[in-house]
Amino acid sequence: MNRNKSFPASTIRIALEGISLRRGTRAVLREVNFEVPAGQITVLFGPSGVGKTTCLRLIAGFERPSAGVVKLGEEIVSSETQWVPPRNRRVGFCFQEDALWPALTAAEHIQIPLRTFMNNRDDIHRRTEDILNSMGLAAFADRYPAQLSGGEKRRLALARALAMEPAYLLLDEPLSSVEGPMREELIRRLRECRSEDRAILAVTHQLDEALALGDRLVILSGGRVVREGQLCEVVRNPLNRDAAQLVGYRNYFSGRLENGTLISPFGHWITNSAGVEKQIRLAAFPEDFRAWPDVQGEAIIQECRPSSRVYRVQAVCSTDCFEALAETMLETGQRARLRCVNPPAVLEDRPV
Amino acid sequence: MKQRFQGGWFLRGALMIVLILPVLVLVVSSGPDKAGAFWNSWRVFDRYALERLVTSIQLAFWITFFALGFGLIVYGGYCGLSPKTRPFLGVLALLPLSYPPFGAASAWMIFITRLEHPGEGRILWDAHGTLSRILYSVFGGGWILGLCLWPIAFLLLTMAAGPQRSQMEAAQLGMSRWSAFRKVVWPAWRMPLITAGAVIFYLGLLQFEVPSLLQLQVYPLEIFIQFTARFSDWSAFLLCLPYLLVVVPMAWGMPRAPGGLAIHAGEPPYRWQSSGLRAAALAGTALVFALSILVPLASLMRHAGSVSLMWRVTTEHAPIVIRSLLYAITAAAGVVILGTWFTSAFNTKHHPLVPACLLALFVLPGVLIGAGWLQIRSYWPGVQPDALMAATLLAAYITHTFLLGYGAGILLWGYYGIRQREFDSLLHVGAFPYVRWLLLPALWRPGLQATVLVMLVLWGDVGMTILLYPPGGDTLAVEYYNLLHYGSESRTASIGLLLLLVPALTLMVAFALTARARS
Repeated sequence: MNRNKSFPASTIRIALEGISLRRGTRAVLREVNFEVPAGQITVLFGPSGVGKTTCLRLIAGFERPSAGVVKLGEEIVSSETQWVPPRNRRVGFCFQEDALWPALTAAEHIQIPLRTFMNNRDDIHRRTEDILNSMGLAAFADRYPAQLSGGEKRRLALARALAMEPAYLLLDEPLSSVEGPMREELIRRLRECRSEDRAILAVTHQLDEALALGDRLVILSGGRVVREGQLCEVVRNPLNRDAAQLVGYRNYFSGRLENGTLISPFGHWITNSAGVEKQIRLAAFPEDFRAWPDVQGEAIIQECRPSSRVYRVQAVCSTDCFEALAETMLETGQRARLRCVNPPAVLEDRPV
Repeated sequence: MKQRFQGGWFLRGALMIVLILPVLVLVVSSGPDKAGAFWNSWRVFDRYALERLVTSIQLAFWITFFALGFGLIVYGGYCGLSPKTRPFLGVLALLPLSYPPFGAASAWMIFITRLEHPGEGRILWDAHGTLSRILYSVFGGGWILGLCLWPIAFLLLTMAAGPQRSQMEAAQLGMSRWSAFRKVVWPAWRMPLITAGAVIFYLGLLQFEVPSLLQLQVYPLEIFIQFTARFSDWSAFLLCLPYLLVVVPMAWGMPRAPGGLAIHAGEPPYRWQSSGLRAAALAGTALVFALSILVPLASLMRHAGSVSLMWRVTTEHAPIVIRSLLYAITAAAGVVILGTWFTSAFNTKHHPLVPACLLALFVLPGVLIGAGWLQIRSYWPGVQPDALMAATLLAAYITHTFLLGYGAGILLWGYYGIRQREFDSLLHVGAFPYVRWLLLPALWRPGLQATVLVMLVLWGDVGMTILLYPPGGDTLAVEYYNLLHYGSESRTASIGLLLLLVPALTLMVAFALTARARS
């Protein structure tokens, strides 16, 4: 891939097709398939150790897959028979550890990637200033990484990656170790990096980061992609228990679809699936459930803790555990009634 | 991952072949051509050789004992200092290493003689020569060499991870002092001490300059005799085999040892809380420095006579000093640059065969490497030019100490960071701009320090230089070694002072250059 080659925006995308990776006898990734389109931030989300960073490293070319294909645009860059060196992939990488050059100033961090494709000294200086300004680092141009705070280092790492003018930007845990207003600032700047000629893939294990940053969500669990789609769609319809668990669903229960109505012990809802009749598995967020004291209630309170203006309740109903919100403090062991106030998500992989 | 410079396995293989070539040539050209002669040649391991081997082992034991003891005492002082003042002690600790051990031995010989007979018929102490008898024994040799080699133990202890303050504070909450030592301090010290002990022990086994001054019949002397008196390279090689048989399996096994030598990063090591302990540790440190630096320095200065004589000797020997420095620095820079290039291919995996080979070259006596290169040089037709002699000497220096370059390379790449290298692999730059823009700014300081450290090892070399450089073109160490046997005492002492001060000054200049904190 040549830096000077211009790509039509439509060809900019990352695709992992059937990617597997083994380390010794351990399978790190198993048949991973997903796409990262241009113009959006795709977040690869999952618990620690499921192979998220490994996916980034495969895309950058730091590692090679045991099977499958990595495509950047239309070109296969990694497969069993083909391999394009990292420097020819037009990839920018933001490491979780920043990986800044300790002996170079912030300005030099930007100048060096620029010098790989620009010759004019004035142009390089101008562009360096622009990039530092856009990242709010103009005041730190002459500082070394050791003289920068965690958030400034992270912005510098991002600025350095952007200075390479990458078509593919890979961000490994971009918000880790950045707190408070700096975090909001960084999220804003990362979202400003979106453009039609750039595909951005960020990795995180924090749900709030994924929700704040992403347009699309790819959920990885056990070395496999368990759900992929637009962020809202994935959160509203996780489709399977693994994905639901990871995006914050805590209440799982059975229901029945009858004559276009979804019937469950915790409420009835009208759906648009008339004529379908079947048992289904449902999932709901704690925020969708309400609990209130009732001596005839089917649930027994296990724990009740204050959470802003309401209370967060854990209760056992039959043998299942539920999390709900309550408007009053409930005592442990007290009987209560549970209701689901919003339509739950339907899980497709576990028919009851 | 394919990183920059990672290609070129062919070139790396070629370098390895060049490095082991002198030993191969020596073995092939001098080996017996008949089976009977082959079996006969093993008779070189006779009673005398075995007796000398026992003496060498005894000497190495005492060297290790003293060096580890002194190293631990100075490390105690290091832990008594604040983190800001520690680097100064670290640089100061390199001074004993910068002085060739036979120079220290001659200084101690002068010191003890002066102590016993201060002159003008007076006897200061010890009329019966007990101190001399102790000095001219394996114990005395161990003492002198222990005072030269303790920085190895000290430096490895300071490089190792811990015990750190948080670990010690956690230990104080629920453990007795003995338990804290057993469970926190000892695990942190174990591997650096074992490694340092092994390195010092083998350096002790290789010693022949100091023992020969102390009139001790040691095993390497037997090897040297085979080369120089009996002209039997093959016998000398056979006598070297015990070194290889022990060292190579050790090199193979070391990286696999549980709790390997972890390099310290992050939190500085623990600082003694008790002021009494701190004072005792610092007093011990001062005593070790006095014994290892001040005693040799004062003895030589006293013996060197007038300042005018010292100045005359210095000006007369200026060309030799410059030549010696040039050889040592060029070879050291070559070792570090080649070592850095060589290790750039190794990300995290190191095939144990590579360090084992390099360790074998390091532990083989320098004279064997020198004889191998001499053999190679002898294939040159006609009169050998001076440049060829200089080139073979540099090649021998590099061959013998390439292990240090390999170690320096691994440390330098570790300092640079694997993630930085991964990021670099995304940049579309050639090898030369990559070195100029990224590697040099980051690595020139530790690289220069490593170069100076290797230079210190080469500065005092006698064995290889005597074999490979023609008389009249000697280095300062060789000149001094020769004068020790037949030179005038004050002149010899003046040269000894030069031998001590030049590397010390070089060391100070290099560390002053690199001390300016940039990051």
